[in-house]
This record gives sequence, structure tokens and C-alpha cells, in this order.
Amino acid sequence: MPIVIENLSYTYMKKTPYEKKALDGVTFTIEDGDTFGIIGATGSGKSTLIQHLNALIRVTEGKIVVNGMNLSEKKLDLKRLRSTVGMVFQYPEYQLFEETVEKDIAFGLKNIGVAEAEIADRVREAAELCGLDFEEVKSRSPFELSGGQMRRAAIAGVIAMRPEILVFDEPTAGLDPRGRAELLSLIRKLKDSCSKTIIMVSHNMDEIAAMCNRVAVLDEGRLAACDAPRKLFFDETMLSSLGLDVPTAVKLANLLKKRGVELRPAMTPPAFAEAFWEYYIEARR
Amino acid sequence: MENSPVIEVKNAEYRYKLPDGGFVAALSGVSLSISAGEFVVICGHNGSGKSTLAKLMNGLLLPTNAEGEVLVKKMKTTDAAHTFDIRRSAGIVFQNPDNQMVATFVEDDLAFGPENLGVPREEIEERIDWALAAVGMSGHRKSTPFKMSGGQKQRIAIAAVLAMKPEILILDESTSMLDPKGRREVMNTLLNLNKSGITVILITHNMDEAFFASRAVILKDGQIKADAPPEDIFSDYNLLIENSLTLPAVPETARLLREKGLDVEPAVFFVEDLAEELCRLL
Repeated sequence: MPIVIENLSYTYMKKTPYEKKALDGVTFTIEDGDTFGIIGATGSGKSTLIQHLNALIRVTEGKIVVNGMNLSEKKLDLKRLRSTVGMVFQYPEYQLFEETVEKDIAFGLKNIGVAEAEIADRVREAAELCGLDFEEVKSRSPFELSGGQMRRAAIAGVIAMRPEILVFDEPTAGLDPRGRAELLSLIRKLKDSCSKTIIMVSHNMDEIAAMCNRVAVLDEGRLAACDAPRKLFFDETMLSSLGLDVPTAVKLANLLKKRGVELRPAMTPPAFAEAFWEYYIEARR
Repeated sequence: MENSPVIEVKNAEYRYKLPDGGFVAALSGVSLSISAGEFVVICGHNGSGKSTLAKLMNGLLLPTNAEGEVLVKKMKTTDAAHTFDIRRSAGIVFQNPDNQMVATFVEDDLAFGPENLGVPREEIEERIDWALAAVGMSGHRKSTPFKMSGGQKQRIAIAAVLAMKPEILILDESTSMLDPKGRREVMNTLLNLNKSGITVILITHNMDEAFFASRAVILKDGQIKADAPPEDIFSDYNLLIENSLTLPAVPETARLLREKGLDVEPAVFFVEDLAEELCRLL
């Protein structure tokens, strides 16, 4: 079942001098099986929006329905909602706290009362899915792990809950190019093996272009656009006006277009090189 | 004064102790001299030792070998009598702004450093206004950092270090949490601060940021692998690959086109220049 967001608004510190409207009448739907991107400049409301999805922030104006659960309901089953929607925050490794990696990954399962024997299986499965050598790391302190392993251990804690919907806030922040590529392939793997819907917040347009089938663009709390990346990322004027980066390949193509050179659309450097080469060969003929 | 070294790292090694009693060398045999007014980018993948090097540069860490030494404005970091002056001269901004905030309101956070230095109240007021303007956050004096987005917080963290009026600004992956717009703003801030005479040392794995520097140092496995102007670094694709770094999109596109046999300049940084090159080919 999809996630339906209708006319959602949220104001921080209402009726105080610090009142700030973070979301303003946002409406869109995330379908089952989507890898859905949420983009926007800092302060555009991305984090406020995703914190609504597992009721860390309760709906105050508008409506959200997740897998048939209406998040406005007073007696909302939070346990069920939070097992359905797994949330991986920015820098999730800062949330590690237990004595051992095994205990840390098991923490959520213990809290929802899963039987001991099942916990052991699910912890191992989650750790291995996240690319950790479970035997090697299970008895170690999470703080002894390398940065990349710590992030994987933190993600494993969320995966162990077997959420149908996985939300990532800036999953690759602070990683080097190699670490970034590894994490994106982990997200793809998780989508194939456990969670059917992925929602990711990112600043990196190249990442969104490579991963997502649909994207919502937020601007000062309002929904500026919601469409497939290939429909949005060629609109340089819109992206720039929202403080977002235009993929380099698109910038290049637009500069060439101004000079009468019209290439096949391309969002990445290899696709651009290919498109330019085709044009070049054609022009030589 | 322009060319006198403000930071000299001489044959420094730094070894971390492992819980099992062994050691791991994060840096070994590192020598580097940075002159007043330079804008240096230090690049390397995670685990290359770049953050350790940053911490050696203002004495937060000390070399673990007897021969190694680090001098900040000719003051040895091992000499405890200089610790105060060294930290005042070389300010560090870290990756995560949340770990650097001390106060509930922005103006108090910015006042914390200069108050500790004994700066008169009136001057502190001026410094707060100046530092907030320098990071493009002038309207936020009375705001609280805890309600801000990551990028806004990081600019406040940079302003808090600027309020100490350091001569050397060291940024340890301080742009990695910012969005493109925030990153550009911070980069512009750094360029302006550099023009006004502050030495800037930017530690990053984002090769785009090396465009703006006068010098790029590449670290891998705790050793310096290259130290050259950025245009030389970007023309050497193998060097980057060997050091687990990637080319930014513009030089990467140029490289892919060269691979196809097109005669494109390898050290091209800006999209306008590459477009120019491509039109010339047609």
C-alpha cells in the first residue's frame, strides 16, 4: 500500500517568537516499489517531512496514510508503524551505544518483544545483509569498528526490524567516493532483498539520478515538483532557482545547445561523452 | 612576511594504540610546510590520515616519534607554554557541527571563544556581527542552532571559530554536510577570508574543492603521495585512481572524451571552458 501525503503542513514552536513554518501544504504519493528521492536546499523541510513518516513528529495539519495507517489517529499503533517504516538518520553511527555490535543490532527487536531465538537469527541476517562479517564483529564494541563498518552496523539495527519501507536521510554524507559507491549498492541490495520501498533524502543530484525512479523537490516547505528525475533534471532554470545543483552533463549540454549543438539528453558524464561522440561522428560525415 | 611558513610539519609520525595493545600508524614520515596566505587542500580517502594531520597542525595531537615535530608560527606544539597561542592562531572547524555547539543561542555560541580570550565586550559584539556576515548568516544572531539544518549549523560553527580571529583556519571535512548552495557559500567565504590574509587549510575528499586552492596535497596510507598545483593533479588520472580519489565531473567528462580519441585539454575545471573546447572541435 502506498504512502499518501495530503496537504501536510507543520510549524515549529507555534505561538512563540520562534515560530517557523517548515512544511506548507505538501501533497504527493509514494507508490509501493518506488525508490523515491526527496531533494531541496538546506532548510527546505526535507527532514521535517521524513520525521513525520514514522510519527517522530506527529501530524498537526493535513494527513498522512502509511500502509493503511492514518498517522493523525490519536491511538496510532506506534509499534506497528515503526516496524513498518525503518528510519536511517544522517550519520546513523552516532546512535550506536551498546557494549557489543550484536546487542546494538538487537536493541530494536528486544524492545518490540521478539523471542530470543528469533532475535539471534534476525541480527545475524541483518548484519550479513549489510556486508559485515558477523562472527568477526559481533562481540566487539561498535566503537572499535571503522567508520564504514559503524555505519553498516547502525543500518543493520534498522534492517533487523524488517521494515517494508526504508527511509535514508543523506545516507552517503561524509563518505569518500569509494564508500559512497558501496553504500548505494547496499541500498540497492536492501531493496531487492528486504524492503520494497526506499525513500532517500540527498543533496547529490548524480546519486538521485542514478538511484531513484521518482523525486519530490521541496522549496521552503512547499512541493516545487514531483516527477521522474529525467523529467526534472534537464530543467536548469528550475533547479538553480531552488538552490539545487544541475548535473554537470546537463549544464554542458545546455551550453552547447545555446551555440546550436543539440545532443541526445544525458544526465551523467559517460552518457554525455557517448552523446557528444555520436554528434561528432555525425558532424564529420 | 608573505612567504614565511606558518605551519611546518617535519618527519611526523602518529600511531594510534589498538585495544589489543598493538599500534596502527595513521601518519608516517610526513613533512609539509605551509606559508602565510596559502590556500591548501589536503585530499585523501577515509582512513588516509588526513584528520590526524589536521589535529597535529594545532597541537590537538602530538607526533608519536621523537624526531617528528610540528611548528605553528615557529612555536613547537610539544611545548606546553605555547598551547594557548597555537590554538588561538590556528582554529579548527570539524565535520559535525553538533559536536561544536556550546550555547543555546547563536550569539552566545560565537561569544564563547572570544570571552575566553578576554576580548572586551564591545569588540565581541563587533566580531559576532562580522563573523555571521562572513558566513552569510547575519539574520540569525538571536536564533538557536538546535533548530537549524545541518548546513546552517556548520556555518555557525565556522563563524564561532572566525570570532577568535585566527590567522590560520583548518577545516576538517567541514563542507561534507552542506548542500551544493551551502558548500558554494562556504567556499566563497573561505576564498574571501583567504584574500583578507587568512591561511586556509581545507581537508576534504571532495575533489571539486581543490579547484579553488593554490595547492593540493594528496595523502594515502598516512603518507604524502603528491603535493602540486591542482591543475597538475587533475591531469594525472592514474595518480588519483592509485589514491582512491575520483575526478570531478568536468575533468572526468574531458577524460572520457579523450579516451574516445578527441583532443580535449586534460586540466579543464569549469563547465564553460569544456563547452568552449568542444565547440572548437566541431
